[in-house]
Amino acid sequence: MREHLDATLLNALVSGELSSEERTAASEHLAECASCTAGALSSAMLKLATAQAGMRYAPSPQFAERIARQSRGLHVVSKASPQRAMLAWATAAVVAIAALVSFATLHRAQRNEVATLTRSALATEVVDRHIAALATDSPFEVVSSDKHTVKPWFQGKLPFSFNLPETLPEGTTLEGANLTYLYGQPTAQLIYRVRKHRVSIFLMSKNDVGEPPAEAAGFQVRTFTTDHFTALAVSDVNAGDLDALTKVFKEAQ
Amino acid sequence: MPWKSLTRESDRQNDAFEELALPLFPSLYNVAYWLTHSQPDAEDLVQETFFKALRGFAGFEQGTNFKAWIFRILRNTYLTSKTGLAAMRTVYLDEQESGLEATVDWDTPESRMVALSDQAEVRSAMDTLPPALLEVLLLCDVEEMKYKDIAVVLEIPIGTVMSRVARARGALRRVLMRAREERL
Repeated sequence: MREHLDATLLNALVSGELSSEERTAASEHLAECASCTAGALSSAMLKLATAQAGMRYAPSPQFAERIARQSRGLHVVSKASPQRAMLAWATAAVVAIAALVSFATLHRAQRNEVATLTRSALATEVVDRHIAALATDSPFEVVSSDKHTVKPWFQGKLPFSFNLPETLPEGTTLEGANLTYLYGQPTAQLIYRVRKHRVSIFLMSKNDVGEPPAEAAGFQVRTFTTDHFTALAVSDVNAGDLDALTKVFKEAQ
Repeated sequence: MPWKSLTRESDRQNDAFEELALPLFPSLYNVAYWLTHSQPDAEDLVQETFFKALRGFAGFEQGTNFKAWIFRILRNTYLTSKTGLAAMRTVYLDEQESGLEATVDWDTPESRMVALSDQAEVRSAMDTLPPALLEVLLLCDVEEMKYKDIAVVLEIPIGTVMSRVARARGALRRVLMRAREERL
């Protein structure tokens, strides 16, 4: 694996300041490096938090009016003319509203960019967790094909509840489950076997990250959200089989 | 008459200035308040910025970035103000240091959780940043300026903007992590 992305590069990526070649190289690295992916996600979220927290102070209407007058070069507005004063106030108000609208539009573009990065980072993270879980020799934390064993095992470990499907698609069995953490949140990882392939279904508290890419690092990724949690299914099984399992899982909720 | 055409030209200039400058007024005020920490000082700073910008608008090169131009006026006005002089007297020496932010171990929950801090925590953390780091975060994250425009505002090379953004986010992250540790 290549060297990790340094802080300058990581921040330039999050700020959308990399050239297309640099961006491609960084994306390739992120696809295989969970640590830098976490770094990119954390930096993107910190940037968003700073953007929101940073818009802190709003000028008073009186000051807005004063500046609007100054900008028009109207240093002398007759105080005896209420119509002129009213007009100036109305203009200042319109300008302030227009400015707020334009600021909101700018932020929307930035939010879109950060949201795309966040969704890609989430897909990479779950693929990485899926591979890591399957690569270890140690058994799952709960090894059982019995849904009445697996589901109760999560009681008290997750801030939400979920159902396991009564009937699974043909050739699909439940193998076990792990409790893992995604971005600091307790997450259920349910492992199914579909013929010779394994599928991980991650269940984490509902978030507004949005739908991640349908494919990451050669793995299929499917997602759906209920009122209480977000589910992400990951596997190298064919898309039809993964769709079928995701469908029955979603219908069970 | 010549004075009439001069007046019309002046009106056109004022209209053009108004169109470009007024939408930036809330942003200029917000940055001014962050830098001065006081409403009267922020108002004085913005008013002087608008005055200087309007007076110098004839020298503004059409087609270049007006936002960067007027923010540079704001910053230069701040630097020569009483509060600006006092704040910048505390020189941020890290610029000359060779290392950037220490390598962050992204695999720890702390480094990941820090971005989930609430708005009040982030604001408190921003308040502790040296002006040189705070201003680059405000321009980059809040004003969403490109690095090349930030370089114009701060009158520094683009490479320095890149390293300063990285250093500023690193410093903010460290303050937030410390705050979290103290709470636990």
